[in-house]
Amino acid sequence: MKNDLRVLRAQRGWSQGDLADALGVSRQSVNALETGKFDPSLPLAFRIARLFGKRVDEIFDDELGGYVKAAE
Amino acid sequence: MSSSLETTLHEAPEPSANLGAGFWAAWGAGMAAAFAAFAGALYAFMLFGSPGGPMVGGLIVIAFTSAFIYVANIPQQVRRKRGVGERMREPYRRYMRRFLPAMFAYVILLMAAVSYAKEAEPAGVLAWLVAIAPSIPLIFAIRAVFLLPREENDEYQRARINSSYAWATGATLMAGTVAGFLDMFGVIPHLELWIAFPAWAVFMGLARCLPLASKQ
Repeated sequence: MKNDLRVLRAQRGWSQGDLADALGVSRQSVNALETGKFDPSLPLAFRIARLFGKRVDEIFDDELGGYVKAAE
Repeated sequence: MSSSLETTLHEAPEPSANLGAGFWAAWGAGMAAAFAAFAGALYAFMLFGSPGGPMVGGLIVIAFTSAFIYVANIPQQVRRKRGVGERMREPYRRYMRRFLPAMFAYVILLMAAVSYAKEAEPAGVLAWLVAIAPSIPLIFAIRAVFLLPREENDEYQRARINSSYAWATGATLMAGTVAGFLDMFGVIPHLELWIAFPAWAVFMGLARCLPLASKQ
C-alpha cells in the first residue's frame, strides 16, 4: 500500500528511530512501512494518523480508489 | 512532494543499515564455520566420547556455542557502532533468557546421559529416564521459540516471525516425509527423529531471509 510516511516524517525532521519511538514500534517496522513492504494493522494505522494529525486515508492509499468510484 | 523537501530527503539520508554484500558473504562464511565446528564437535563427542569426561566435553561444546552466538551477533554490533543498531528488544531478550540456559542444560545432560548409558548400561525405568533426560531441556527451548511470537508486541516483527515459522514447519514436514520414505526403503542411512527440531531451526533461519508473503 502506498503511503506518505517518509515525507511526513521528513517534514518534521524525524529519523526513522524517532518515529518508531513515537509509535512504540521497532525501527525496522517504520522502514518496512515506509518502503511499502508491510501494511499496518488498523490500530497502528490510526496511531500513525493521529500522530500526524491526519486521517488514515490521507496517509495511506490502497490504490483501489478507481474501483470504489466505479461501484458507487 | 515539494522540491525543497526532496532535497532534504536526499541530503540527509538515514544512516545505512545495509552492511554490503561483502560483509554478508564474510559473515555467512563465519556462521557456517562456527556451525560446522559446533555440529562436528557434538557429533565427534557422541561417536568417540568426549576428552576428559562428559563435563569437559560439555564445556567445550558450550565454548563453541558461545562463539556461534558471538558470530551471529556481529551484524547487530556493527550496526550499533554505525549508530543504526538498536538495543535488543524485550521480547527477544526474554527469549534469549529462556533459550540459552535450556540449550546449555541440554548439552550437559546429553553428554552425561550418553556417557552414563555407555558405562552403566541401565535397564528398565532408569534406562527410560536416562534416555529422556536430554530431551527435557529441549522441550523448554522449543517452548521459548513458540513464546517469542506470542510475546512480540511489534506487529511487523511478529508477522516476520510467524511467517518464518510457517515456512519452517512446511519445509520440515516435506523434508521429513521425503526422508522418511527414503529411510523406509533403505536408500539412505537411518535418520534419528530428534533431527526434526534442528532441521526446523535451520529452515526457520533460512526463511527469515525471505520477504514477507505478498499481500493480495
